Amino acid sequence: MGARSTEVAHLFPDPLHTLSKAALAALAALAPIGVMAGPALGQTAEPRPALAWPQFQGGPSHPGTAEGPPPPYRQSWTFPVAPVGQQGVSAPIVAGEEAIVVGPDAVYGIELSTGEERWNLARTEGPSTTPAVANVKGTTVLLFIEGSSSSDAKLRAVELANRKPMWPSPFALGEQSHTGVTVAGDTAFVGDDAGHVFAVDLATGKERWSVLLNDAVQGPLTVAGGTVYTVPQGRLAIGATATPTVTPAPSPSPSPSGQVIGESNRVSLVALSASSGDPAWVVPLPVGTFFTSLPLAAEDSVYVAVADGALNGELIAVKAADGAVQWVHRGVGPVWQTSSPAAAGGAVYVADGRGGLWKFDPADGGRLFDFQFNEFIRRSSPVVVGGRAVLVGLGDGRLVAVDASSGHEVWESRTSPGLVGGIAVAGDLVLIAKGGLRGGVVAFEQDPAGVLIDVTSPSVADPGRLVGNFAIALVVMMVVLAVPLGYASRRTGPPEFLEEEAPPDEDGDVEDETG
Amino acid sequence: MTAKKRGKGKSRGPSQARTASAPASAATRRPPEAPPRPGLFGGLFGRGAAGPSPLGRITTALGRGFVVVGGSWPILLVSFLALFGEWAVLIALGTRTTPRFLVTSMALPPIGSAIDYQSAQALGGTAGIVVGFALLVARALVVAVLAGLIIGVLKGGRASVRDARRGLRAIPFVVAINVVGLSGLLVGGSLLQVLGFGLQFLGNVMLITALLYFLGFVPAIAIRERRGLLDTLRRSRAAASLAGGQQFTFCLLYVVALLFVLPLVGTVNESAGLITANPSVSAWLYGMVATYVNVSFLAALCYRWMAAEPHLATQPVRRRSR
Repeated sequence: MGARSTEVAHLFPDPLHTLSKAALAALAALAPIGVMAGPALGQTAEPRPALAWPQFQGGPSHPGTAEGPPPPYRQSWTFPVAPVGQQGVSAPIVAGEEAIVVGPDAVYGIELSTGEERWNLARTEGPSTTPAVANVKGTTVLLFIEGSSSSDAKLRAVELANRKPMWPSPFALGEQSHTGVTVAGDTAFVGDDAGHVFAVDLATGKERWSVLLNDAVQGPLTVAGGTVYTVPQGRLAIGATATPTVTPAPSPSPSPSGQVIGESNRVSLVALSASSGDPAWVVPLPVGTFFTSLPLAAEDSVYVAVADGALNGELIAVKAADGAVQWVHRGVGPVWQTSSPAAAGGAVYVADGRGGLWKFDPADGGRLFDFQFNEFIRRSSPVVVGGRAVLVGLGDGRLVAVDASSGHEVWESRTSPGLVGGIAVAGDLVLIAKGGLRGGVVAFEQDPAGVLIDVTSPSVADPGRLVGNFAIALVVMMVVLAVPLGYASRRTGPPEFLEEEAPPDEDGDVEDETG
Repeated sequence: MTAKKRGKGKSRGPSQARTASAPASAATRRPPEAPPRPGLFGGLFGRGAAGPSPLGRITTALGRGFVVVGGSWPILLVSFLALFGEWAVLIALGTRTTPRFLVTSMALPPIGSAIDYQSAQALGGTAGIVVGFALLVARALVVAVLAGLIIGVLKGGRASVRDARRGLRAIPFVVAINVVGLSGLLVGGSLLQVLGFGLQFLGNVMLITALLYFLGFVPAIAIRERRGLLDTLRRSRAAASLAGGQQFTFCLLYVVALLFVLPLVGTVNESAGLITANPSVSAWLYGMVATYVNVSFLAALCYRWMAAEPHLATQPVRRRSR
């Protein structure tokens, strides 16, 4: 791990390449001294921010961007967590010197520098959803969800330092939850499979408000600018209210000022006031919407990708203020509610289920590039590292990096059993959740000896290859078909029923009595 | 060609056409007996008439179709270049798809037009409308030219520029059946949603088959005869429903081959399932084989129409007002 304290970026402008060989030799000679001298002098590496990656996609709006090591990477350590049934580990989060991950029946604290387990905390078995950490009056609090039914589904909060309960009792949810925890300000937001959305006071564990949507809230809620965004799957309806609850009115409410996709009673993007739960607006998504991503809030817009039953997807941008549609870009693949778009450097990134990583211009929805990996992406969201590389995890176990400027693939890990899920970036490490029987958390660090690749997306036309391959196939088909069948055709002659036919006129027409 | 030579021929035309005493002129040509009574889906799955149908046997028509198309390099060349052209256009428009698209790329109307509709829909907006219309016309052009070439070869000649030019007259007719077929698919597909997923799927297959059943002969009729659209449609339906013709079975065979058999074959070709702008040689071969099948079915339809044509000449046909 000695190289980890050296934050050297050698993707694109590579500072090391600008140094002379002599300077490099001097640095190499001094490096061991530096490593030894640090502890001797009582120094430690610069501490990471207290909450480097505190929740899903690094923040309540799901930005999916952070400063971190650029590729190439090498594996630093792994932390195995045995799956239970289909349940593996959640997306990791990072607080201080710990990575935290929720497993099927426990929450684990992992030493970032070594990958060793620092602690574990039993939880009632249930979906492994992303936890969150928050600073509550100077105390770092860990929040996570446990349980798999209405009777045992709870939101728990513990002090991270000693794992002692923060609240007098866990916060009871209405039903099993797949949302994980989103923290914004002094409030935690969670949803459940019954369609409840809860706002919980971080300090007391008391409910501030709750609303009931008519269908499950399946992924981490998006919170930005005092608004909570979610896409309940299924028709939005006015259901029975939960404890002090606010029920969204039929959509759109109030009517958005601009163009609105579709009509009410469809899969909808819902915006709720973060302070009261009052519905800000509801935008019905296109007719036939079957799959949706999690919403991303960036600047003054909200982005959500949707797909119909035929797996034709599109990215939709709406105004955060009133839900008015800004633009729609068609052509992306199917998306899942376990993946969120990301925003960085004035661009929006989307990973679709067919393995497409897309970059869009948020101003007009123009496609800036796409890279087709031809491998499914199910639980991974794009993460932009240092504004220069976009990381995403594939179904075949690869973590891949794409240059944010050119759209070329610049690095990939080896394939391995188990898909790659959520990604977290903390200082000089990239952490991924790994599925499969030998899944868990895998940490990557920058590999100074690694090599970058430069692979163009197969979706980019190469005229030479395109025409060449076609021409070869054309020749083969002509030879295989035209030669033998041409002979057969000449032997066959015209059909018998034509032999009495009148000679055609100058246009070759056959006259009949009606013509 | 003498009768003796005909006896050596490998094709077997409908028996009704084998009338040695038939007049030389098609204008005075009459079937020896009253034609089998047509009716809606008259020759649905079996032989409804006592004797062979004027449409001939399905196997004979298909055999002719495959030999005519495979044996004519101009037809193959036009087919494969059209395939390449459509792929190149879609890639240029930014479509992300796999080479499995090539299977249906040259499908007969209305399946082909449904594919164009999806491509246009993916673009959306004004661009989608413009591209959709352009694809519609381009597909009509290709189908019309191919039908012209096929009819030229079926008549015993070689495919020529003149045949292709003659085929151009079918363009408005093919545009029309594209529009009719697409409308039928969209409306019918919407109505079939009430059936639930399984039955809806079956219903869609039947709907496509029925549209092909009614509209399948239109390109050939448009090239062979100068008639108005309604007359052409009426004659297409009349020919399809000739008793014992098994035209519905023929159409169902095509739909099954196109939507089930060819895609199944395509699963063997792994590269055909990957999103790319540059299909591999094997993916192109796969697409060309599918195109060959598609065009051969078009040729078989032309053959069947030409076999049935003399028997429908006596049917009442509304004249175009001039």
